[in-house]
Amino acid sequence: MSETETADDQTYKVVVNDEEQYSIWPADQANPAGWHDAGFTGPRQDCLAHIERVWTDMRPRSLREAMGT
Amino acid sequence: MTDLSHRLARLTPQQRAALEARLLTSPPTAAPIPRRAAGAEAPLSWAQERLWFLQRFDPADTAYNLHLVERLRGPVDVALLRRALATVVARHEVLRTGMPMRDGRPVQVVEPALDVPVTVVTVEGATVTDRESRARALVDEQVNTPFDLSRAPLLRVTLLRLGEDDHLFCLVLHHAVGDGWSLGLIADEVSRGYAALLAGADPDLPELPVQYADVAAWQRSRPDDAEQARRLDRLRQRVAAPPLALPTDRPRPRVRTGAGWAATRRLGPALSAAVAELARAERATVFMTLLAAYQVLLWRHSGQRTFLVGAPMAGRDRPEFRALVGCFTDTVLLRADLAGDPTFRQLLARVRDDALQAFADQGVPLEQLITHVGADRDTSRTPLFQAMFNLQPAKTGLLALPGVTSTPWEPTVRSVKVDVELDVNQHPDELEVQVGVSAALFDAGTAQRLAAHLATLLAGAVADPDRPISRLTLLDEAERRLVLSVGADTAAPYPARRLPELVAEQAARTPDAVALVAGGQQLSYRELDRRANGLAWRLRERGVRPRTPVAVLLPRDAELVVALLAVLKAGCHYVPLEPGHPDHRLREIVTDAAVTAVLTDDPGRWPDRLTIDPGRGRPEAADAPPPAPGGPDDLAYLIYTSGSTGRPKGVRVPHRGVVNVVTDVARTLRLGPTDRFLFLTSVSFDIAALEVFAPLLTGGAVVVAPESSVHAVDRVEELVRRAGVTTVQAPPSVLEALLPRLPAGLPRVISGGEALPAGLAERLLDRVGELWNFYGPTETTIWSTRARIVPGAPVTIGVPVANTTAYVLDERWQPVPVGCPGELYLAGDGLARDYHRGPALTAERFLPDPYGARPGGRMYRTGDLVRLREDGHLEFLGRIDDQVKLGGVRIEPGEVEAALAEHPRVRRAVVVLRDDLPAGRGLVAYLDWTGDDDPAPTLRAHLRARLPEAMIPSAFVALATFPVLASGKLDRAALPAPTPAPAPAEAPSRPPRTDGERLVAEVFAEVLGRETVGADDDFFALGGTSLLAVRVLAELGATTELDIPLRTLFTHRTVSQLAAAVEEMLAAELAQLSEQEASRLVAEGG
Repeated sequence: MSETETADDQTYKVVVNDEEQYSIWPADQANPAGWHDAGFTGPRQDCLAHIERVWTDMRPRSLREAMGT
Repeated sequence: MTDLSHRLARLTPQQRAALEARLLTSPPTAAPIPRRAAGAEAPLSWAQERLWFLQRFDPADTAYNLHLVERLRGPVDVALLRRALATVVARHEVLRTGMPMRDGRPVQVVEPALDVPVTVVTVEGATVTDRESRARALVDEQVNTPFDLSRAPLLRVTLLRLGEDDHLFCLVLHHAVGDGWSLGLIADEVSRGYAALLAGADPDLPELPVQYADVAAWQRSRPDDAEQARRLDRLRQRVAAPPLALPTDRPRPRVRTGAGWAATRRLGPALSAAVAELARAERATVFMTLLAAYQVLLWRHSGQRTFLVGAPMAGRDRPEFRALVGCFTDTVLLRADLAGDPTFRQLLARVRDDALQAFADQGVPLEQLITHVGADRDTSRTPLFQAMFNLQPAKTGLLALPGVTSTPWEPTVRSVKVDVELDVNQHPDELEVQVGVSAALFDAGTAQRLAAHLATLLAGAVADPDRPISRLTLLDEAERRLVLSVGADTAAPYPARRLPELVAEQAARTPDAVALVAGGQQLSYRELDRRANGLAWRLRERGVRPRTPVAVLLPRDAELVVALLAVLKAGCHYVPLEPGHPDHRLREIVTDAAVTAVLTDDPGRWPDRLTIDPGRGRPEAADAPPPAPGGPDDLAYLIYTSGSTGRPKGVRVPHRGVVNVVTDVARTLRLGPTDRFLFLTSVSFDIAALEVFAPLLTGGAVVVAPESSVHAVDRVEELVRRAGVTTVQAPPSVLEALLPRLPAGLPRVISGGEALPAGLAERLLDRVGELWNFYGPTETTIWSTRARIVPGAPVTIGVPVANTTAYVLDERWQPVPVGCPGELYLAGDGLARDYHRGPALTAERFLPDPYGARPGGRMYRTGDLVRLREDGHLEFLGRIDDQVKLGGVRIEPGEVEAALAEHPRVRRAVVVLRDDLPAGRGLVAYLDWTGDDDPAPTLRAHLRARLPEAMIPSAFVALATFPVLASGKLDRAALPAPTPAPAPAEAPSRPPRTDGERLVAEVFAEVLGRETVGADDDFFALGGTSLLAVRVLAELGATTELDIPLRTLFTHRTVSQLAAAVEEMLAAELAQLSEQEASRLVAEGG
């Protein structure tokens, strides 16, 4: 491997904000303000696959509410 | 003795092995060192030879000046001080030694008697402050003046008189005749002699068993035994490490200099005690603990996990050395191994084992090792190691003159031996760190930050030694706040409305002003607004619902602008398509976006879609748009960008971001009703939206270019003139083509989309009023940072646009220090909503913003490598994926490109790293080159005079045209692989042709012990070493009566290059001769 590490073997967690936008964050670090655990932890790719499954309506919550649907 | 046995019992197996190795290699009953015949010349010791060579290479270098400067309060008898010093000089031959050349080699010549003057200077000045600062200037001058090593004495002594009983004693000694230990000896012997003389006695010092020159002769005559060979082999493995390449503040010069500056910082008693405590607990030393922290610091700044650190050692391992003044120090090479993210405690264990092994392998002089591994050819950095570490007791007054109090006095040292030096001084109750850096490479602020980082890092490490070293914090609170607040002060208001509403407001203010110029057609704001309203109604009537995507696929005409506006007025977002793109790509996008309609002038191409041809049907115009719900967070457009995977990804951008950046650019560039913005960019790129909406929101006019980017080059001049264009936006590659056609005095040019080369920036500045460099990914809406480029200042991407914050972070999303490369993350109002139908991709690139003020905020990961400059501006370094590392050294292709562009025959240069070269990975330079000849030999020589060896491309390819993408940006993937050149290595080098070449070839052959040398043969490739280089130049100098600087051979390595350089020097010298001198020379020669 080269001098700089490229492998990402960290454990992540799936997090979500109040607009119901999803993202990932290192599992061993506290969530940034306004982000909450979405109940999934694992390797990066697993977290992203989980998000691909659960984040079906990508409109921010405020917009969805404004649209009344 | 119980203490010793106790300590021995506590040794680890490695320590015990090291100890045994040590005991075996220095037998206590060593044969005595023989004395030379009195007055005989002697060779230089290995260490002297290294120092002699360095001085020869850079005669202005003062990095190896040692000093003893002390404040003496009390009565000083100058006459006695002179006599005491004379005694010491008489006693130590080395203080009377010069090192002239004999037959191309330096030798030690001892003067039988030599008077070293003590210059007394009375420091004048009206006030104490005046005198102090004058004294400081005088001492600094003494300390920072170089020595000529060929002549004794290599020390100078000055006594500054500040008052009746107030003096500064200043002794400066070249390292070639002494070391730190020697300074102590000299002080001690001077003091004893002075005291004796004061008491009316003669100085009484024991006879010296040997002199330094005896030691040197003995050292150089020792045969290389088997043990030495084994050591060399072990050391060869030890030193196999890439050079330490810290990110520099300025490009690394071709030839290094010794100029430097330093920053000092005290660690405080608590932290200093904690360092000692951790060392004790881990059975290590304070030296090892500090070294471990230093290694972490260098890794975190360079990204390198393997490198060498040199540490000076006293080297006085024989009893007869102890009383000798002379250069005995040697350098121990310590090898950093930070692989696998150890904890600090684990790292400390590694450092301890490595240090013990290194000490055990001591005994091979550095110069010998450098010669052995052939490490002395790169003139841009020091051989083997580029970082040094030294731990020493804090200075105390060394001169002990009766009735006088001595205190050390620190002069301002303006030199460094390597790129970065750490000196730690052990005061009685605390440690003091001093970081020195090369002034050619680093700002003074960098030394201060490095010292601060080391302190913060050490505090974290001793507080929690089980923390992985990647988790240790480098930044203190103040610097952390600073680097995380780039753009935090950019809050600025912008209208919280949608784009079409803002255009309608402008139309209401200036209905008759020109809004649009296209071909022969002009539209006023009223006409534009009414036509867009009409088309919006038509969309609605055809069943297109608000908040749905509508494709726009139209030729570059007035209708295109009307259509974009109409889609927005209908409450929809547009999906802009470039008619020139291949059919399959357009279909892929239309399908992926699931557009509800296609606005096109060729409806027949889209039989399975709802199509609307804006140019046909009833003439449409309306006073008002159809009612549409929504606000600034509704989408304005969905734009497809080429992903690295090849599959285009759709970025969905709300009105808010567009309005924000347009407002910012309008304010910053002072855009107004008189401005005409060229709509040159293909509509499929997001920056086209700036070309359309910046004028429409500020009362100016959009001037539509009938073709986009490079295809428009031939028509731009006419367009700009005829339509009175004031602002042109394009990527540098398009600007390069446009430049000769831009009318002089064009008010504004915006460069963006790729790195703006400094040379192009200069040429643009000659022609245009204002030059701006913009940066920004589609995902953060058009542009996110901007810089006004001014002549003479470096090209940066500047500072964030309004309501945007920039973070430079490492892989763990921690801020990196000022000056260090890191990935750019952007947060703020410019963020796109998401990737269309890409939840995972969105989550991966739009991350929680841990540093923003807004809870739940996101930051976008750009994939771009940048660094924050000390002045708060961001510097673009390239894509993270394109990071070029060759042989462990980080290389900025941009630097190589800039150096190439300095050659008059290079019109454009692009440098890339390729993996498909015959020799594997290597740099390839692609050139717009004037002429039909092979650019390689010319440019290789050109670069050798400017860049470090590792940055010189292995292939040079002249291109007639550079491949471009639809955007006009360079298509890097389409650059051809270089065709392998016929192997020249095997071919015999051509024989020397000119007189100069024949002379140089003869000298090369003689010095290298070869039969013949060809005109293109490289001195170092044939086995030349730095010392042999000295001989070559001595021979050449003798023949030509020229004083040829040593570095000439390092920058002109072949026979023909060196011959040319020598001829040039001869010509220059002859040109300076007067008529008479010249005719006299001719007469003599005839």
